[in-house]
Amino acid sequence: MIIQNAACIPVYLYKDNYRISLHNEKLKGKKINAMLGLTSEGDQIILSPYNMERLVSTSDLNNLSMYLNLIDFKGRQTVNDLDLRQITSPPEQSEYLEIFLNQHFNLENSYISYKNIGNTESELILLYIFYQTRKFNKFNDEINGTFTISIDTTSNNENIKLSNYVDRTLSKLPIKQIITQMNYDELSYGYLDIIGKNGERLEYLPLYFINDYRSKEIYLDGIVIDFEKSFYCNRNIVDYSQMDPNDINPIVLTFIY
Amino acid sequence: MKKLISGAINIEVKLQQGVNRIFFPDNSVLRGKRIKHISVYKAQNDHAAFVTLKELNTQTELIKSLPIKLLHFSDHALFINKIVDLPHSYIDISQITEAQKVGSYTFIFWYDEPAIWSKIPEKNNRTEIHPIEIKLSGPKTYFAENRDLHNKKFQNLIFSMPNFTPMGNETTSYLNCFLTLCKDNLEFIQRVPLEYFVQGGNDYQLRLQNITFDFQRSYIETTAPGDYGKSIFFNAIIDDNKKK
Repeated sequence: MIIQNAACIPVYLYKDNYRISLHNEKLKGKKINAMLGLTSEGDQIILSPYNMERLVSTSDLNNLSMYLNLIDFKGRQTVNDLDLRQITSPPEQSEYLEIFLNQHFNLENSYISYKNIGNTESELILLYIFYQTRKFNKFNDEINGTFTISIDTTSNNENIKLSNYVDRTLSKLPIKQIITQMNYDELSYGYLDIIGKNGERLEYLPLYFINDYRSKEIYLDGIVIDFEKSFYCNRNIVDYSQMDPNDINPIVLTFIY
Repeated sequence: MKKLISGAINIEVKLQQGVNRIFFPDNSVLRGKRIKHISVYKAQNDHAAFVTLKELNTQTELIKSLPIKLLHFSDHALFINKIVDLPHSYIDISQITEAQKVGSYTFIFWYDEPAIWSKIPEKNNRTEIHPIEIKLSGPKTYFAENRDLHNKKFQNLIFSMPNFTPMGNETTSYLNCFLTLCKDNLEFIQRVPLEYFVQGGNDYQLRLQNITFDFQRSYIETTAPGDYGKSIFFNAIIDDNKKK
């Protein structure tokens, strides 16, 4: 999948409700390319980048019976009752279906229907909506060059500016892919919040989506990253004060251009 | 990556004691058709049985002694791409003990069916997604007519098992269920285990070549009476590209 922009939407599924609208101001007028959900899985607890709340576990998704419904501006229901689990990915796997939407939707009228029969009052998933604000570049996965940074984390909830780690001479390169090599046992979870110099925005892109474990790769549409305005956002369940600093591995990110 | 297909036929081959080489039965639908993939479904002794396929045009055994273990329908399904002379193709079971020569092998031949397929636009970047629900009523349940999907071009059928369908019905598992899709009188998808339509865990999904089918002639068979009254739920991926 090649992405240009991503909006990270927290979706709360309340027990006494059955439908949630996808209305979102930042997506108004945007052409939607694809969507992807993110959940926790078992003891791999994923925290929301917004408020450190736990995302629902894949095993509890069955209690939700969630369906995605997307309606275009002519009132046509292009996506009708798609089982949301088909496009929802736990951290370690890329067990999701790639869907190709590539059109404008009336998100005010679009919605997720669900039936929360679980024991909790509300469940949270993150829905990533990939959209475009300009024409896509012609894609070529040939590597022109790479550079790698290692980010040291000191707290389980911190935002670290990427420009602290990236040489200025590298800041004009159109990035095609970012890859990390996370070891799931280390519980080093976080997100990349990226702003492009041509107006692109990748909002809280989870490291799990770009981990080299995953067989489904996510490419970027040649984004020239504004490293001054872009961050690695550590959202880790581990209590850093209880840990030996030597046991905390840095976050390694490889940028491919 | 799986190749585009527009047909799939279930062929059962019975093992026989005292026989080391079992020929495939002739199948009128597969005659002269290009086979894209062959998969074997839940096979016993898959390490000790070997398939030999004779190509129709050259009458040569181009695929020789292929272990059927390699025919499990994984993400890396072998691309056969041959017109096969089925009655002259066979399975070598000489390495299986006589006592174990019981039961049968179920093969699915995934093939090109020119009567069904249509071209997928080169820039295939728009799809519609629709639900299809079939409430099982007996050993054989036909699809209900669906006017919204009449003559639509299907690129995939994704089996899904949420607790409840959008209609609020309880769902059942793919186990013991088989799908047959029919266009006019042609059963081009014939008794294919529903398990092959569970695709969430696959890196590469099935690729149907913009097929169309008649809902009221197509059906699901189940061998589990306990499933009666429960629903099978699919999400259909449908071509939504503009026609040129």
